[in-house]
Amino acid sequence: MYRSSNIVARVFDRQICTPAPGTSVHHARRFYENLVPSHTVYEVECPDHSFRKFTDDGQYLISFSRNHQELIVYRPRWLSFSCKDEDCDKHDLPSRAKRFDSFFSQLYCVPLASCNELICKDFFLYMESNQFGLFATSTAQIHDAPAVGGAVHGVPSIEKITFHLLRLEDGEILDKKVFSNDFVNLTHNMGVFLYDDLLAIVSLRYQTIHILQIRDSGNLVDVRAIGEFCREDDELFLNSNAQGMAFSDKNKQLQLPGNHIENHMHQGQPNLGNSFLSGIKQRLLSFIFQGLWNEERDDTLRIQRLRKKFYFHFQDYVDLIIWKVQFLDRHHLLIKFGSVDGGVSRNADHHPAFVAVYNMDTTEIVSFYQNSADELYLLFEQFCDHFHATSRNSMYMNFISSHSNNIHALEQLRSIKDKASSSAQFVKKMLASLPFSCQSQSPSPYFDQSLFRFDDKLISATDRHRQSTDHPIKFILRRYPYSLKFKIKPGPEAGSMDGRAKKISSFLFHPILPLALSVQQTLFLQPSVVNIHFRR
Amino acid sequence: LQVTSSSVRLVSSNPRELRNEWHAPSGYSVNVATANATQVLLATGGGHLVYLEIGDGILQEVKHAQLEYEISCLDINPIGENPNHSNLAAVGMWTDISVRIFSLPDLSLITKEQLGGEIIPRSVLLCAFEGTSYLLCALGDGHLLNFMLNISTGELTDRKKVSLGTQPITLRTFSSKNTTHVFAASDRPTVIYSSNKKLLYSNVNLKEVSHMCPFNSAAFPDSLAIAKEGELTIGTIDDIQKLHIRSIPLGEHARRICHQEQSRTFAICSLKYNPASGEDSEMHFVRLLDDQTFDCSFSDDNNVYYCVGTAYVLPEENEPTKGRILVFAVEDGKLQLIAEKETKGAVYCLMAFNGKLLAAINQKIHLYKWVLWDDGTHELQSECGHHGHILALYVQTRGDFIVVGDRMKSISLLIYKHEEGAIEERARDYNANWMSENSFNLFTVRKNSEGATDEERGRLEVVGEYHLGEFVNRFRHGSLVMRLPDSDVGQIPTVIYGTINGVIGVIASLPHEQYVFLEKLQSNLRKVIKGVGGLSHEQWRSFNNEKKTVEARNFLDGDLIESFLDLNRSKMDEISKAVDVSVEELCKRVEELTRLH
Repeated sequence: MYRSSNIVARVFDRQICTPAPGTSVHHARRFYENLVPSHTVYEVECPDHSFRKFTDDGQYLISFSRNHQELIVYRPRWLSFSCKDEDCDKHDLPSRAKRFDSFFSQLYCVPLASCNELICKDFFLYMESNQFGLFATSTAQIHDAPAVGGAVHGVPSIEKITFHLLRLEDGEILDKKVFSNDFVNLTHNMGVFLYDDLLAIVSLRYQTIHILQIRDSGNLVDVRAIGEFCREDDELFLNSNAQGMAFSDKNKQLQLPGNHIENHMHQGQPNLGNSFLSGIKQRLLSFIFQGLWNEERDDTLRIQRLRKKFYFHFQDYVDLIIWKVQFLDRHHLLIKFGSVDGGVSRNADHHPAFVAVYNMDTTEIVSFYQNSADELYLLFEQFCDHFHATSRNSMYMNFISSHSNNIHALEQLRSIKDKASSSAQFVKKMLASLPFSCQSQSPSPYFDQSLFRFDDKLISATDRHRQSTDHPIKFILRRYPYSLKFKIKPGPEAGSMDGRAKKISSFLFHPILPLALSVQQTLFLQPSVVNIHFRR
Repeated sequence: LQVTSSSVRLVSSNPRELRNEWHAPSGYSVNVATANATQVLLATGGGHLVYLEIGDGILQEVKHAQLEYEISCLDINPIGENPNHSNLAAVGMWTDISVRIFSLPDLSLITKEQLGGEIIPRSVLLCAFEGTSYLLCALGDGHLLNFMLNISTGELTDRKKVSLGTQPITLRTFSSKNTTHVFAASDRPTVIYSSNKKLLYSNVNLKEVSHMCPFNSAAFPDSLAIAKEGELTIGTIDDIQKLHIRSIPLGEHARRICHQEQSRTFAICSLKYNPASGEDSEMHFVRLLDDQTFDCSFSDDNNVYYCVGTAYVLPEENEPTKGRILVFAVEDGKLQLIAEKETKGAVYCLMAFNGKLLAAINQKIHLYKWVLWDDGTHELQSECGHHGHILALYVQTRGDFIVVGDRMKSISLLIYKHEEGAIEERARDYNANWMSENSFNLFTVRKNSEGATDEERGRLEVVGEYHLGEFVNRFRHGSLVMRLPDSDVGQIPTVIYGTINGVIGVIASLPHEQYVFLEKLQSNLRKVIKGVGGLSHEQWRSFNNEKKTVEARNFLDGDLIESFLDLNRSKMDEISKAVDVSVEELCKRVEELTRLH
């Protein structure tokens, strides 16, 4: 058989050879080795918008207006033009190639923000099965808000957070959900997780995980709230016992209308919060206690172990708060607990943290680890893909490289591990990424480490701003002949005028086409530099 | 019975002696004659029609008629209750190009049917299939007319016309497996038969048959005697099949085939592996084979050409940067290179378009015109190109529209603007359906010309989805079988496809009401027919790619529907009850479908 990496040989081969069963997609992806975004249009004339990302089906580009008031959605097209010259391949592209609208056409512009709210430009979730988009607007943070109504002291408050569910085909707003005087971490989707049609929103301030369902009709429906209570009827049970208390009449007066999350229990009875631990906390404590209890048969030794490992740390356990949540599947949540100080901090990595698996149906804690536990690390290293839960239907996410599905990523991880001076410190650093943020990885095949090698300090599938350098980022073939296939250079073609100014870059890769946007900005208020990288 | 140009002779087969003789009137010769067991009908020059009856050792002239024009063909095949005697005579005429029905024995004119056109009828036949009487009339140009015949009144109705070849046809009846068939002898011999009260036509794998007659003897039972130029064959008819398959060993791997009707040739692109040499190497050939579908012709040039696209495939290159377009003519059975054009990439597809040549080259669509220089040589000259593709592999055209199949970008619809000499994009499918192709699905798209916005009009809308389970290499408009005007399905357009595993399939565009009816039938078949191992047909046919699995939409599985005919009667009854249509009607409708392929 004619073995060649020339694309014509590949096109011919696929007409006569059937791949082994189950591998036709793998074979097809090798075409990405030949079709790469090898051409750059520098400093595209484009609208002054914040470009958020491409939807995972490649149909839309999500962007927000500079004033954070409007959502603007584009259709990715492709530069298309007619030419007369036979040798037009040698010539420059036509001048309209410099224009953003040669590659993207605007579909609509929808105002989302109202009153004092602004769009959270780092938040966006896409429900591909229905082509719904979830956006968030909020008012400004209040840092020293009093911790009333069961709120956690030390967590800021936001007067109003609104989640907007839109149909991306035409921009119609289908439903809204409002959280008042609450705090949800919206940056890079950290406080919200979408699994199939289930949405988990973490109220950091009130320590509640709200589970909602997105119906096909476009409605956001409350399913359950986990935190103060675990079962739906816990509240009823406690209320029936508290009926004699003097505050019962006051409760009714404080009922809030409509779509607002009801916080009446918190606001009406401050003393109650001090008397009872929350339902989730009780389950956590009982799991820890039971675990220690079951470890030891001897009563004397058991009591010693409990005293040393449970009662001595009891208050620390009680003071833990929910930091972050992800779905593992439709029934299990992975919940990270930590101290109040770390909940909102940018440097959460330095604070002690614990990870628990919680079964929503049985309301049990299934397992519990400290974030430096070797046992958890082994699960992480060998079964990393299980933590990247997205959907039962989305096969393509199987191709996002991780160290449990990609030999190169695993080798890289082990190389870092071998160089680490402290094993415990290494483990802690690696596990800091759990739980994973939702839809934080680009499915672009150019980030598939089976196909290409690149410097992941400069660029990676993870959705993050990077320190920008003036050197192009090289993408090199993983397979023979290991050649350089393309480069991505953010910023102006000639490099920056001011070499000392700090610059950051972000990259938006189309999930399917050889098309990418790079956005470079300085920390000062200069306009961004946008380049378009595509196969000419 | 012997008929010569001057007489009809009745000869006894046993003593081999002449028993009686009828003489043509002096000055006239017998031109055409036909006979059955008891009757003779002949025509002489001058339009004389003579009817004789055969008695016991005697020939008796019963009737003579004078017609105004010359007679071209006759038939008195018995199709009534008496197998030895006909009450009707069919007569074809020169000059007024008509076919007439006369009653016997009095030669009274009953019916006169103008055939139209200028081609003389050369053969006429009275025959009955499945109890229905027909008149078949073959013209000199290879066309066949058929009529329903009312044997009581001689009335002709339900006229249909079909092309069986290009030469005059001779029609003869024969019996095969106790069923009446008609052999049409010509340059493309065909067997005509009836099924479910419909006339059907099947090609015979012979060439240039001039005459055929039934030949039944102890040594050759139920046989046919077939005469060609310089050759006589005695044979039998096999079970009638729709497709004839011949294998022609090439000794090489054929990759492309093209038929050129004018030169009656096929061109085949093939490759030969050389395992003898140390490394992998291939040689690629264009071969010409001697003997209806597509050719390449240019404006202002009445010749037809084969055009071949090539690429220089270097292993160290990412993709070709060079290729050629070669233009060949067929002269004296050989390929002659007429023109050659270098391209800046691989030529993946070539298409004749508006008298010019359209090429898909790497990520570009290029249009060439055919220029004649003063010295009589021709050249392909670039007219315009279109950029906007990632890897353009397939091109199809209709009118001024161009459809491009891209390796990644799915389908684009372009339009050629004559005045400007430019190609512009009109619409696109924005789904990433190259993934669908790797999952062996089919889908159909439609342009939304009535959309309210530019965006809607610029988006090709997916209207059908289906899991085929096969990788399709090629689609072509065409049919595997002769298109028949008799049948309701004769007007249904079909597309043939070929797959990597050697499957040849047919996709048919059904009228809406037929689709709705068959969809209902398919739903009920799914309940009755269970897959091996309990597998669900509905699940198997769901459109399935990396991103989603959805039910098949606007596609039907013809294999499943046709399996209705293999069911036992009780299961047929079960389905018949569910769809509220009789078993006979269901069988009839499904059998009609089987004639599409």
